[in-house]
Order: sequence, then C-alpha cells, then structure tokens
Amino acid sequence: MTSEGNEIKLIGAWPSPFVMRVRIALNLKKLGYEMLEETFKKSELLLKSNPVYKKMPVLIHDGKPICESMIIVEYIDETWTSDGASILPSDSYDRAIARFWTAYIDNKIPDAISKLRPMVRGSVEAEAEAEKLVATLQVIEEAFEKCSKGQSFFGGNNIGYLDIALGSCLAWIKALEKMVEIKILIKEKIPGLVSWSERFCAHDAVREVMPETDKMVEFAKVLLSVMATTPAN
Amino acid sequence: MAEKEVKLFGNWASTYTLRVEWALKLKGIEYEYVNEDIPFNKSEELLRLNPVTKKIPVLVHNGKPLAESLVIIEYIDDTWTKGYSIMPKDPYDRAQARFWAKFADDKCMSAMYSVSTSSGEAQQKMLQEAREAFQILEQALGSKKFFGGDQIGYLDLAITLLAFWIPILEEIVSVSMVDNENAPLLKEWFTRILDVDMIKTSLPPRDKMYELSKQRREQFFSGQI
Repeated sequence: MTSEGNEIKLIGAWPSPFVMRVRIALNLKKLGYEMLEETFKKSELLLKSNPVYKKMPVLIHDGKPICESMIIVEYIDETWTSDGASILPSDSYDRAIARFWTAYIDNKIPDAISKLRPMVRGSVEAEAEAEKLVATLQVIEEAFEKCSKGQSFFGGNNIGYLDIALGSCLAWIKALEKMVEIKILIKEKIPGLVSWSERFCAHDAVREVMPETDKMVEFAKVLLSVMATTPAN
Repeated sequence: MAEKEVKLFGNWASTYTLRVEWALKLKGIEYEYVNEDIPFNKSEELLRLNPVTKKIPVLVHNGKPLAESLVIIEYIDDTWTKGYSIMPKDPYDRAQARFWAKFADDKCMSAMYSVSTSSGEAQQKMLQEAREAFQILEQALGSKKFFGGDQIGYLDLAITLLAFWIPILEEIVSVSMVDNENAPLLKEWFTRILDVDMIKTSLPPRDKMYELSKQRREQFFSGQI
C-alpha cells in the first residue's frame, strides 16, 4: 500500500537477478510499487532515468531515480526504517563484511553466469567453467558459516543484504544446471549454501519474484537468439 | 605488548590506501601503519588477514580485519560517529555518492588504465571513451566546491586518486584526458582537492610516482607485467 508522497516505481524485467534484488527488498519492507516491465528494446523512461549505464533496475521514488541494484537495496533499507525487517546488519562491522562479500559476489558471479549461458551442454568447456563457479561458491560457503553463526541465513534469522545479493543469482544458476547439463549446487562441496538456497527460495519475500527454472530456461533460449542477432549495446 | 586499536596495512604508492588514511585523519583516529611490499612480497600477516583477495588496504580494528577501501571508509564513518561526517546524511544523497564512487572505480579508473596501456588507434578509441567518462563524472560535481559540498566527503575521498593520477599519466602518454573542453569543472576540482592540506601533505612525491608509473608502463609493454 503506497501512501501519498511515497510513490514507488521500479523499472525492470522478471528474469533479471538485479531487478529481483530490489523486489525482494521492497517485499521485506512490505512496500507497494508499480512494476514497469522492460522488453528487449529499452524504454525512453529507462534511458532517461539511468543515462549513465542505461540499465535496469532503476527505482523511482517520488520522481527521483536511484540506480545499481545493491545501492537501491541500501537506499530502501535507509529510507523505510520502521517498515518491515532491517536489511543491513545492525552492527557496523557486520555491515562492512556484508558489503565486502557483496562486492566479491558481483565481481565473480554475473560474469560466470554470462560465460556459461551460451556454452554447449555437457562440453569440456562448460565443465571447466562450472568447476570455477563451484570454487567461488566454496569460498562464499566459508563466509556463510561465519556470517550466519549457525542461523538460517547470512543475515541471521531473516534474510538480509548478503542473502539478497547471492540468492538473486539462484534462478540463473538452477537454469544453467538444466540448460548446460552441469552441476553447481553440489551438496558434497557446498552443503551450507545448498540448504541455504532452499530456505532462501522458500522465503515469503522471495517466492513470488523467483522465476521457476523451466521459465528461466525458456527465457534463456530467447535471450541467446536475441543476442545472436542484435549488435551489442 | 598491547595491540594498537587500529592498524592499517597499505603501500606508500597505493592511492586506495590513501583513501582510508584520509578517512582516519578526518576522524582524528590514531592508527599504526604497516607498509606492505606489494605485489610480490606480501607479509604472512596480510595474507592471513585478507585471504580472499590478498590485497591492501586492510584495516584491523580491535583485531577484526576489513578489506576494500570504500567499504572501509563507510565502516569508519559508521563506527566513529562523533566528529567529521564523511558520508552524506540523507539516504538519497548517500545512494548518489555510492553510485558515483562505483562509477569512478568501475569506469574512470579502468578508462585511465586503458589509455595508458594502449597505443595507436586503440589508444585513440580508449582516450575518447575516457574523455566521455570524465565528462559524465563532472555531473556529480556540478558547480559545488567539492563533491561533498562545502566540505570534502566520501566522494571526494574516493575520486581524489584520479586528480593525482591523471595529470601524471597525461604527461607520460602525451594525451589530454581532462581539460577545459570536456570537463572544466572537474579540472578545477583537481586543483582544489590537491590543495587541501591533509591531502597535499600525504600524497606520495609526484616525481617518484611519475618514475614508478613510467616504469610500470614500460614493464607492461615489454610483457613483464
């Protein structure tokens, strides 16, 4: 429910993990918003609201645009302080640790996903790339042990900033496992994260915005054919 | 032998380390500085404190380590709440500051690096992209004295390394990345920020950096690094 003078719009698209991050944050704060769904052709509003990167998500709050997914998540947490759950940890050191790992995730995982997406199923190339991604997740598994302190999520009892950063990548990770016939969420290698991923996807704030794997796989096929025929922008 | 409360692992030539030092100085925090011999001779202690990226700067506060200069600056501002305010107060201004710091690191730094490590036609293309990036960055400054307004703030600390590096690289490579044509206000800010006392007295000697940059560039082109 939006109140007057609290108009929230989100420019995005359902398959994007970056957009999903913002939607999860808005859900955690129980905020209503208008979703402006982008297609493959970028809208005028997107180009106007994010002239620097021309990318989604863009949150428009009372007419003011905010860009970059995790920056938007922090903005949401800092603006709506009495609504719903706290997204960033309350302790300043824990906050810094969450930001550090988010930067690490953003440095490694989106690239890994992009590399894997067009690869041939079951190929040696794909196996090698999948192994690298698993190795990255093994590093993050250690972070999970430290941050969660025995609780269900990186954020403790409830999902928080770091859960959102990593969890949003799960839709693509699961889709890639199917599409490219590789294993990434391997219980023997990353047991903590595998259990965490199930809990994350089942969370109230996540369920409705996490696309089903089959839907992602179908979308991936469309995306790959669009990318093959469109010049890079 | 009691451990000093705040310890900073860095390197004299690292402008990322300087970012953190400036934040500590603004807050009046005393710290112990450990110079690391990067990149080939890192101490055991550094590798133990930052096993993930193995990079400097690393801040250790009460035994707890942190890496990533911009993350560390926010931590400093969050933890030592009295005294100088580094981050803006308003959430929208904070979001803007974080956005532009990321843009400076992601686009401007890499643009600057690309210009200095390319040649010929490729360099011309990189130069054009760099000039556009700096023109965009100038939007965050506008007609303000500093990115932080009347006083220096988070974004000034983040971007000062460009003010220091660009003139040096422009001289070595004989190009113009920031000038009165593409970013006059940014160019003026370069002069203003390098004149701020705290910054002026802490930057490494220009001629030393010039020589080091020249050396690194030569090593790059000869395939050594």
